[in-house]
Amino acid sequence: MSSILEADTLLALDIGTVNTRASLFDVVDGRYRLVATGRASSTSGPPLFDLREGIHMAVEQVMAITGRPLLDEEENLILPATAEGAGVDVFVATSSAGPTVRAVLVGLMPGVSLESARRLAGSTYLQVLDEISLMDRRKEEEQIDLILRARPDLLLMVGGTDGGATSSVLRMVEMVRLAAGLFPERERPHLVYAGNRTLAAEVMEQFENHQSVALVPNIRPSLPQEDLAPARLRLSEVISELRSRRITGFEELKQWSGGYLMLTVDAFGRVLRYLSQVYDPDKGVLGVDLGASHTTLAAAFDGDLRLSVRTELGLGSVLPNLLNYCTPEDVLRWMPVEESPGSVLDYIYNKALYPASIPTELDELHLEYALARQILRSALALAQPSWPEALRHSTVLPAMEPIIASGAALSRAPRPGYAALALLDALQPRGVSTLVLDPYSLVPAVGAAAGPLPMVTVQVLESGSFISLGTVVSPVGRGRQGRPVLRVRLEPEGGGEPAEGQIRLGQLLRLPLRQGEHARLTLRPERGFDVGFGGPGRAGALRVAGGVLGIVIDARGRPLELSRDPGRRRELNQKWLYDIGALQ
Amino acid sequence: MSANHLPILRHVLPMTSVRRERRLPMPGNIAVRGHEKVQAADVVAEAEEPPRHLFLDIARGLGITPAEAARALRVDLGSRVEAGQVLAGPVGIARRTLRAPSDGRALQLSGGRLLFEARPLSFAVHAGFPGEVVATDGSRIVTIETQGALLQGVWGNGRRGWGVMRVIGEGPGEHLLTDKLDIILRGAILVAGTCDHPAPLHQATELSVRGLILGSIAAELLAVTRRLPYPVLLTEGFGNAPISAPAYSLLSSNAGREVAVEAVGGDPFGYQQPEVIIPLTGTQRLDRAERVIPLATGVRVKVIRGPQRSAVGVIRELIDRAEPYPSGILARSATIQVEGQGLIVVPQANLEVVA
Repeated sequence: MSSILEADTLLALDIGTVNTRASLFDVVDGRYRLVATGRASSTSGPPLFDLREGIHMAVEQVMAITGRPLLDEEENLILPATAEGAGVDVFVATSSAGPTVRAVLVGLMPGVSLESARRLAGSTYLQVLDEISLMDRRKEEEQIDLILRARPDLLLMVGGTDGGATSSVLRMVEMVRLAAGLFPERERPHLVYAGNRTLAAEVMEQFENHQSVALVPNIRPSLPQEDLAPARLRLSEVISELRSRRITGFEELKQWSGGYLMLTVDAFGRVLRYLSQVYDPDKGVLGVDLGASHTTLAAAFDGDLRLSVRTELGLGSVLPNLLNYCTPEDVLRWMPVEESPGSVLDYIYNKALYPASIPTELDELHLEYALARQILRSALALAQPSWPEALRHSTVLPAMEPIIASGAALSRAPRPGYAALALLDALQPRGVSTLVLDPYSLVPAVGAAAGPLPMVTVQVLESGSFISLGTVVSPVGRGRQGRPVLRVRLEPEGGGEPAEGQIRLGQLLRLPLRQGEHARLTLRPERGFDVGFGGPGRAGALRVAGGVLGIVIDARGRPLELSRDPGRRRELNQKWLYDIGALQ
Repeated sequence: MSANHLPILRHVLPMTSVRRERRLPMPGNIAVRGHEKVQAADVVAEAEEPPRHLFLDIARGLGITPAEAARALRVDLGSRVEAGQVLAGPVGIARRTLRAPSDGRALQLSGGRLLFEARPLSFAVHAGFPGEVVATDGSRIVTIETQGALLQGVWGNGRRGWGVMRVIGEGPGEHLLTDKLDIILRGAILVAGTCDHPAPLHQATELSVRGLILGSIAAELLAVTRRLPYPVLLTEGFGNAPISAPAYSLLSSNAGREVAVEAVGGDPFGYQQPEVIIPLTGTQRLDRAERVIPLATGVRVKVIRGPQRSAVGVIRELIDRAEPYPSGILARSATIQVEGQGLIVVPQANLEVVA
C-alpha cells in the first residue's frame, strides 16, 4: 500500500436506472488513476428488481479487463484487498435507480416555508404530489382525503420560523397526524418535521404513541435564511430506505460500502461544490447529468451549491413528461432534417417503452439530441429560480467555468460535436467557459470517494479520465447577422503558427488546439458585445486549454435566436453540425 | 464475452401455464376459496373506495368546551354508526345532540371535533379470465391460474376486457378503418395492425367492442385511446409497426376463441405487463413461463427499433466487438437470422427476447 495515500485500490459503482457502471481506481506513480470501467444494464427494474445482477455484470467486466479478482466464489466483494492482489481496499457506491419517492408537502406560507420545501424536494429524487398550505381553500377534511388518496411515501411538514408561528403550525401537524393515522400501519408514510424548531417537543408529543416522526432543523429558521442541508441529509436516508424496501440488493451494497452508499445527486453535488471553490470565484460551476429517469443540474457559486433534480425529465420512461413543458414543434426547432410533429410524438412514446434502446439511424440520432436539448432547456428554466437572487432572472446563463456534462446521451455521443452543440444550444453559455464530458460517469464516483479518500477527487479530476471538449467563447450581444462581433488571436504555447481573424455574428467555428495543449487567447469584442472582460467592448487575453474540439467560437448570439423559417432553420442546424465537427 | 445486457422478456406462447394475481389496492374481502373454479366475470375480491372524511364540531354544535366533548361522545371511536345515529349529547336543557350525517365511522377526537368517515362505496375485482384460484392472502390478493396461450404487449390503456376475438383484414399490418368495422363485430375483441385516425376507435365504441389489439397506434391518438371505454393493447408500440409475425400467428390461430385483454401495466417499477390471455380448456397443467432469459445464441428475439423494427429472428452470434451504425454509434451487437430477411446485425440494446 502507498505510504502517502490512505489506500491503494478503490472500486466505485454508480447504479442508474438504465446503466450500472463499475470503475476501478489504482495508484500509479503516487496518484490515483482510473484503471478500468465496466458497464452493464441495470437490473433494479422488472423483471428482477435486484441490483445485484447488474452489479455483478459490470464488476465482471472490470475483472475481465484487469485480470484482478474482485468477487469471491460466493460473488461477494473481496474487501480489503489481499496480498495476492485480489479485491479492493475501498468500495463506494452511488445510486439513482429505483422508484421516485412520492411526497406531499405541508406548510404554512406558499411563498416562504413551502417555497423552501419545494426547493428541498427539487434537489433530490422526490416527486411532489401535492401541497397543503395555510392559504389552502380546501377544508381540513378535504386535505386529509387528499393525503389518503395520494398515498404518499413521505409527508414533509414545514412552516414557522424558529420562535415564530406556533398555533397554526400545531394545527397543521395535527391534521397530518390524523391523516397519517388513517393509513394501514404498514403503509404509513414517513413523517419528517422541518418547521419551527421551538415546537419540536410539542410535535413529538402530538405523535407520541401513534407514529414516529423525524425531526430535522428548520429549513426556514428565519425569513431571510434558508437551511436545506440537514433536511436533505434526512431525506436522502428516507429515499434510500424506501428504495431498499422495493429493490433487492441495497442492503448488500450498504454492507460492502461500509456506509459510503450515497444518492448519485448528493455525490454529484459534492464534486461541483468542491470545484466551485477551486475555480474562479467570480464564475459559477455547472454540472448537468442527463439521465434516463431524471435530469440533474448542479450549479455552485463559490461553495454555494444549488441542486435541481427533475425526476419528471429524462430520456427514458419519463420522456413523455417533456410534453408538459414544450410541444413537438419546439423539439423540431433543433432538427437538421424535416420530421413531422407526429413522428416526434411516436419517438417520444416508443423511447419511453424502451429506455435502454439506442438510435442506429442518423434521423433517430438527430431526434434524440433535439430531445436532449429541449430537456436541458426545460431543466435549466426550472433550476434557475433556485439560484442566488442576482442570477435568478437572467435570460442568459451566468458565467460558468467549467460546464461538466454527464449521462449516457451526452457522454456517449458518436462524435464529441454532437454533445458540444447540444450543450451550446441548450445552455447557451456566455463569455469564456470550458465544456467537459464525463464519459465514464466518474463525477458521482469521485464525489462518493471524497469521504474515505479525499485525494481521489482531486487527482482523478486532474487526470485524463474526463474529456475536455474545449474552451468555448460566446460573445453576448445583439445585432444584425453578419456584422463583426469579435477579433480573435490564438497563440499556442508550444510555438506554432498563431491563428487570427475576425468573427461575425451568426458564425460557429473551431480553432485547432489539442487536449493537453495550452495557448494565449486574445479577444477583442466589438462595441455592444461582451466576452466577460468586465463589460461590452472590453478586450482581454487569457491562457486557455485545448480540447477534442479545440477552441470553439460560438458567435450565434445570446440568447440564441433561431430562424422562424423552418427550411432556413434546418439548413442552419445542419451547417452548425458540420461546423462543430459532428457531421463530416 | 461477458454479458452486459439483460433484455426485456416478452412472452408469445401458444401453450403455457398462466398465473396472475388479482390485487385490491387496499385490504378488503376475498370472495373466493382456494381451488375454486372461477369465470372471467366472477367477483373474486371486494373493497371499499378511499373514504371521504369530515369534521363534526361537537364542541361548537353542542355549545360545550372541547374538553367536555369527550364526555359528550356517545359512540366508541372506531365504531360503525348509521345515518341519524346520535354521536354526541344530549346536552343542556334543549338536550342538543349531534347525529351522524350518513352511515360511517367515528374515528378520532381532536380539539372538540370528531373526525367522521362517511361510509365509502365498495368496488369489486373480477377474475378476468376463467381459471382456478390457487392462492389468496385472505385480505388483498387472489391468484388465479389457467392453461392456455399468452401474448405480452408493450402498452395498454389501463382497462380489462373479455370476449370473443376476431381478426380484421388479411395481415399483421392491416390498417384499422371505419369501413372494416361491421355490425357482426359487435361485442368482440378486435385484432388489427395499425391505427392512425380516431374515427375507427369511436366507431368501435359504437359497436360496443370489448377490446382492441393493435400492433401500433399513432401517438397523437393517445389521449383518445386513454378515454375509450374498452381495453386497447399494443403489441409493438407507437407509429405504424405491424404486429410481429409470431404474435400475429398466435392471435390469428386463436381467432373465434374467448380471450382476456389485460391492457394494464406500464409502470416502469411494476411487474405487470399488458397481455392477452387465451384460456384453452382440456389441456394439462404446464410449467410457467420463465421470467428472465439472457441473450445467447439460439434465443429468439425481436428488434424493437430502427429499420428492422418488429422483425423476429434467432440469435446466430453475439459479436465481441462494437459494431458501427449509420448514426455513428458503436454498439455491442448480435447477428440475427430473420426469416425472409437473412442475417441482420442489431445492437443488443435494441433487442427483446420473445419466448
